[in-house]
Amino acid sequence: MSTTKDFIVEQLKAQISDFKSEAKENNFGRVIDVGDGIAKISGLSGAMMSEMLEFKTSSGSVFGVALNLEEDSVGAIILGEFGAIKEGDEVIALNRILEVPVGDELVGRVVNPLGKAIDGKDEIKTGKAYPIEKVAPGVITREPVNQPVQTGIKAIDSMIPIGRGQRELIIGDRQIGKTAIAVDTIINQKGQNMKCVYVAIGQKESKIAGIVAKLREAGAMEYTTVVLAGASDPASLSYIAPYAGCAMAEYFLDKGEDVLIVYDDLSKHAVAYREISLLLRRPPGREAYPGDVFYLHSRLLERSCRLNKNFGGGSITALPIIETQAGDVSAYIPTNVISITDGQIYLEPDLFYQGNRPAVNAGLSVSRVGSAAQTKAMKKVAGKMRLEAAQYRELAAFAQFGSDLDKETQAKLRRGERIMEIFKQGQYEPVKMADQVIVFYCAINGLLDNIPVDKITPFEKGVIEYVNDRAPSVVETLSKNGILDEATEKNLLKAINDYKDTVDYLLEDRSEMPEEN
Amino acid sequence: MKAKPKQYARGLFEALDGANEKQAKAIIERFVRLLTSNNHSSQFDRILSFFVRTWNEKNMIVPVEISSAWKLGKNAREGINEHIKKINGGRSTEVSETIDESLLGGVVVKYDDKIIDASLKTRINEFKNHIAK
Repeated sequence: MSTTKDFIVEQLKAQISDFKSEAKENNFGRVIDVGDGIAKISGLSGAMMSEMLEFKTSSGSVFGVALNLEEDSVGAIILGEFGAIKEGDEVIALNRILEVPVGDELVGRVVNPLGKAIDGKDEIKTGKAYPIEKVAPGVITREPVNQPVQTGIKAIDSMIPIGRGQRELIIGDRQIGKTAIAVDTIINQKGQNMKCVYVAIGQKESKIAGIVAKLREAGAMEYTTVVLAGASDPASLSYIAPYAGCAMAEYFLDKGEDVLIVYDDLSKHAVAYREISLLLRRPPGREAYPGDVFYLHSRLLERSCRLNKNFGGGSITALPIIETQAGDVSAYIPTNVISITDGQIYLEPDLFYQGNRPAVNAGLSVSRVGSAAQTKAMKKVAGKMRLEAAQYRELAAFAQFGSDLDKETQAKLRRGERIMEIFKQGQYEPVKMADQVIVFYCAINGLLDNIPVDKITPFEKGVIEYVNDRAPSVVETLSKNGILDEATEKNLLKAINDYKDTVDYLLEDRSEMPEEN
Repeated sequence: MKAKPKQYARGLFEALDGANEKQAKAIIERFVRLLTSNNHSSQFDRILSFFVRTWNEKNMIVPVEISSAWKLGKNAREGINEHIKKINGGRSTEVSETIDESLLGGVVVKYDDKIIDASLKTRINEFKNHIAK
């Protein structure tokens, strides 16, 4: 046992003799004005922009960030409780830009934006700290996106595929399933060699407690860090939360790993920034947001990238979430973020209430990376899915005319209904890529056309189970190599037909089927 | 045009430049009357502090505040003075001393907007953090 008394005494002696303390010269100032999370400080003439400041109060030290550098004073936001700060208190400049602890110790923990643990477990001690503001990687260091992020959500992986290093915006009204998509994606990253960071900005702490419990249940906390700036925390913490989360993700990026980061949500982030800017007396612009609210989000999202081999080959994939009011995507903040990201997933209330959940509107949703981020097998089957879903949407308005339509249109409508039924998915039920390929293969090759619409879901579950059971080689080829070659296709077709022979709800003759609504 | 306290202070300084005692009294009286007529006498505190700052700047004086846990001996005080003079490039210093027993030892020197914290209390804190790592 190495922790003998002598060893400990040796260590202490070594530490004490190693300890060099010098009286350094620091800039200092005095508080002349404090309130609402903002402090005005006189002195501090050498303060840097975004420099960390320490307020010496009677009940300990509170940290702040210098944001407004004026001729005679410095405006700073206070990162924490500002109730203890009085006028006249001393403020010392710490000579470094605001930084947060980063490291492997953060994985599996729930922290606040300053890196302090808030999940009730041990304190977090990390060796490194990264600055929260960083210049995004340049053009030469990047590489095009070509590896997929499997979200486990059929509608997304087929029609709006996301790649590693892409920024894909999730946009929709309140209570429409935006966070659900993000959480399902995180859960599906198990075994995919991805680390995840979930940044909750201005969210209810009860909601986050529920999410953390769900992630723990699904085993996702083994590779996820949660950064929380709750609704009752000061706006300054909400302001730095996404940057802190990105800094924590960049630690893994520098090690060459892939990271998924979810910003939930950036609308609240813009509101917190608006609050701080107005209190700092910066001039308001459109909708009272400050003039640099675009830069606020663009510098955050530009840090998500895919680096080439010479720089580690890691990537950060960002899923920012924006909440719209009454479906208005042409408001100020939504249009800003849409123009920054590489695509959006648009969630519609109409689809939601009709029962299509996740309520993804495939027409307005876009992924600018597209099929470059899909495996070959998925590309083969998903390309047609998107087309057929689009055609169905076009024709859906005519569905009410029933039998007044010609046979072709009716066939298209029937196919479309089944495809929409396939895209329905339960929450916390991500589907593996191989299973998705099986289901889509059925859909585009007409194998679902003689199954009643209300039996599609049980059929889907059944066929996946059957193929996994009776034709595991098919599943293996699909998951390991991601290709659907001829031999595999033959085996798959045989397995599906075998399964269809075992079910009893097949319809007799397609053309004689009554219209189902 | 609204005159800021800084401008008042500078104006007063320049007006008093080279004036003898009698003239200074007259100038100051006129200054106070000007302030009152412009309704800026509420700013008087700030004008005064800016004036002191401008005076110190122009006459190369640095007000220095030294806090120590017990009264400083002559050698210590001279040593600190020399050090400050060296840093500030030969400006003369106006030293004020205070006793602050919570420092436990050492000194804290404040001048301009810089602070040199060589107190025992801070060193013990730093040591504690160092060991904790």
